[in-house]
Amino acid sequence: MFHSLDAILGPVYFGLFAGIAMLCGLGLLLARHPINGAIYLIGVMLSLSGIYALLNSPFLAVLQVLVYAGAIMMLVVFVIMVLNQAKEHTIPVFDWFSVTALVLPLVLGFALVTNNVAATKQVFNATGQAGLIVAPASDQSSSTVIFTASDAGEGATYAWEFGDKASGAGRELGHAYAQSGTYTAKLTVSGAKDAAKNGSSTVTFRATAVPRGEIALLSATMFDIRAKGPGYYLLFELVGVVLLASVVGAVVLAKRSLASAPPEKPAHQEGHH
Amino acid sequence: MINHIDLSAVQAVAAVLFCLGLAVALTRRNVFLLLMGIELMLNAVNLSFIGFSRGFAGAESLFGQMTPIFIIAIAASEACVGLAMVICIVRGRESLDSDAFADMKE
Repeated sequence: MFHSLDAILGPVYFGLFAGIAMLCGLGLLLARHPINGAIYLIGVMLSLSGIYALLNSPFLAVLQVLVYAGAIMMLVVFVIMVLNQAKEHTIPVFDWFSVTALVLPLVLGFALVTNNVAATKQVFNATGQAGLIVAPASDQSSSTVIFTASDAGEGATYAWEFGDKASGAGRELGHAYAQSGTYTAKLTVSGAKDAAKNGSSTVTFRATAVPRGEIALLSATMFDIRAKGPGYYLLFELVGVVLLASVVGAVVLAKRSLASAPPEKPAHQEGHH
Repeated sequence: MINHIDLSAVQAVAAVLFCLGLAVALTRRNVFLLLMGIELMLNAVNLSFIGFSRGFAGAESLFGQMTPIFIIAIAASEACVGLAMVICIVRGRESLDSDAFADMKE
């Protein structure tokens, strides 16, 4: 049951984290008090940490929680509370320049997404002849197309022309295309003992050069503690949530103690003790 | 087991976060929110780098992993120095409004 969910869970996690990050960013923009803004920013950083882990960068994800959410934001919250100015209730001031700065990247970002969704994905139409099987496979996380020829027996040499004026030799090899486009790769097999396996065959396919492509997410089981893989990541997210809760608790406690603090005693009374 | 996502989705999220941080830094007058807006922008840049590090093969992907480490270190030192400066300035002025600091050149 969990395995069947795997195929969709990664993008779902990404959407969840991206949504939380953007909502918290909006919260930071509209926050009434710096301390609320700091809590929103910690939310952004924790969700970004989740996205880093999904993008197969677990070290940076941990560093994000430790350094950003842990050290930097704790320092910021500490200083805000030292210079407590709870009466500050300004709302953001939008002039034409800042509205442009807000809207323009949004438009550009969504233009990027819609443009790329329409882009053709890699499609391979292998046309094997003379007992040769040409099976290019694509490692989706890189721009390299992997070519594999069927085994032609002892003594066979395999020569490839990749279709972009580059060539190579070997039964199995990868080639990175610098530009997206439709290429026809040609495989020539010679010297095989079985003469029927000598010959050449071509394959036509569309190669998509990165970054116009898809990137692999880490398996969704990353968030499953029972899994053998990096399931421990969930623990770091939990640590982050505990951190966030402790910040919120500290703020609530501090506000309560500030509200109920007795008025300051005159200085001469303290001098006697 | 491996599932995929469009690289441009990551870049779009990074762009949205960057412009939100820019808007915070431009529109808010409170000096803490200004600093946090800058932090948000740095985070968005990190996300962009990491997204591209997945998109490129080989040695290029290492740069996308390395640069965020430098950026995190710089952000940490920036927060330390910036907050220390804020404490020093606020002590003399009793205001967190960045407009109140405009007379520093005098």
